[in-house]
Amino acid sequence: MRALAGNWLPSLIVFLGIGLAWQLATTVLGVPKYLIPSPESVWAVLSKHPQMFAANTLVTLRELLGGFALAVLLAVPLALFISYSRLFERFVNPVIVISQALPKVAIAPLLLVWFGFGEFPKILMAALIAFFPMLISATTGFKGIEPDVMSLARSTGASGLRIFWKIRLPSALPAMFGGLKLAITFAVIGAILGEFLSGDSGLGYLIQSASGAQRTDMLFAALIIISLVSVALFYAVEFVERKLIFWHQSQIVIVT
Amino acid sequence: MLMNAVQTAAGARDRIDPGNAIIIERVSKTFETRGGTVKAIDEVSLALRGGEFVSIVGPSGCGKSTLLGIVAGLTRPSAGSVTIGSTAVNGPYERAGIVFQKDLLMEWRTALDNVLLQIELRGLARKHYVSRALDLLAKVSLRDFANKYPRELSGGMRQRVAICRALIHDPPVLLMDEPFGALDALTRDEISVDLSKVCDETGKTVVFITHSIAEAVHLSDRIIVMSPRPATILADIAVDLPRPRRIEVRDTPEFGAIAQRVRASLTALQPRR
Ligand SMILES: Nc1ncnc2c1ncn2[C@@H]1O[C@H](COP(=O)(O)OP(=O)(O)O)[C@@H](O)[C@H]1O
Ligand SMILES: [Mg+2]
Repeated sequence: MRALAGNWLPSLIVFLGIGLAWQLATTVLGVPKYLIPSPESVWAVLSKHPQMFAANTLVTLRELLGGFALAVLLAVPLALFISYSRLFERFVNPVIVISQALPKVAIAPLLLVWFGFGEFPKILMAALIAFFPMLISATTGFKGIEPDVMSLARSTGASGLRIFWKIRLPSALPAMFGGLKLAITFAVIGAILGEFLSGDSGLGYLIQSASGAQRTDMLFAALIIISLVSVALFYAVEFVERKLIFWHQSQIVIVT
Repeated sequence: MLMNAVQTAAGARDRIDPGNAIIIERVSKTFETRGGTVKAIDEVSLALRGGEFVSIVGPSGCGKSTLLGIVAGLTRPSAGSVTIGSTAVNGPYERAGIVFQKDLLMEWRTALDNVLLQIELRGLARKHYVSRALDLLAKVSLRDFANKYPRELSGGMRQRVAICRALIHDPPVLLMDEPFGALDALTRDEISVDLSKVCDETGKTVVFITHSIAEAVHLSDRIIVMSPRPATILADIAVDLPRPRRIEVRDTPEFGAIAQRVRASLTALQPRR
């Protein structure tokens, strides 16, 4: 209970603080409405078109979760290969680093050309951005296993698969969750970025078209939803982390 | 109960079981490193009778761990061979229990589950070993900690769990690499008494690497003193103290005399600069 309050209370305070500053900016300082809409007007637009916002949020959610899943499913096995073979690592490392150095915004148009305007290129975009932190953290996790632990495991004659499930994977989990938390927030950015560039649905598309129409109330509403989605997803991952690796150093405060 | 166990111990020890004799024959090991080749072991030959408890002492970095790895079949020798019982060791030797300096417990498993990891990795049926695991834990005074996680245990307790994990499948061979090296002196004494209790009963062949001469003399039938790298055998000292040996054996003159011999052969090889 206290742990829960300890987690949510600071976030709540921050949100309330931002809301208050926002309210003050629009009322007391008198910033024009077309620059910063008042909280009421944003609330008004939200409550006027709940279905529209919900539908677009769902699209973005689908894309980013798809991208997140894809990134994890690709990064974890790749990390495993890298941790098994120094040679393999030397081959793939340059490719991975170069792929990371390329600006994603520059790759997006290419994805559109290749995969059209549906949700798939957005999923790819989300996956592309979420992939790197996931790969790095999973590799760190898999490599962090004590050589003597592997000796112990080998001395039992256990198969590689059994060693993976019983030792390698659980050992790597704490490091991996660091990557998962980064990856889920990166996936949000990726999906929105994809929607900016093309398409006719999703929160990114909403922002794009609201901006075109100078509808800052709509734009703010979309921004608020995006931040809420990010925060909720982040805490969802953290929740799973707490359940799954309750035994790790980083979790001890919460357990006791 | 305890007396009983100790009584059988003496009996088991007299038994010479050829099934778990270890023959190390002209084993050498050279590592290729960036800085050139490192000769870690130079033609070491050693024969351990089945059921014998043999300690290996020697300066740090002389090749003890490497030799143990070769016996366990985890490291391939550059030359020479290891035979355990009638089996030539050509890969991980599965009928051994291994204990390292670090306890290497899995933090996500309770003490009991850590002991049973050995069983699960071997693909054996867990349910057949639970009561044996609890017995082993009881023997090292950890019965009440079976359901605790490693982080709730002290260093000495954790290493006891690791020892139980090495014994749960009742291996005929026990290989230990400075198993008490990370523990404080008092805990070391306690745990070595526990170890002698567990080993005495079962007639296992034990290879025990240690830096503590007292520990070596207390536990062993024989002590092998190794030279600085590349490791060769400098002395092979029999410990003919009666068993069972309680901790008080360390205060006897016989014990002191043997410890003295070990220390002398160790100090004789201090590198002169
Ligand atoms: N995998 C390895 N690669 C290169 N050198 C090694 C390797 N393992 C051990 N050595 C070297 O072999 C020597 C003996 O090491 P080790 O057997 O661990 O010594 P000890 O256990 O007696 O302290 C050391 O000089 C060490 O640096
Ligand atoms: Mg060593």
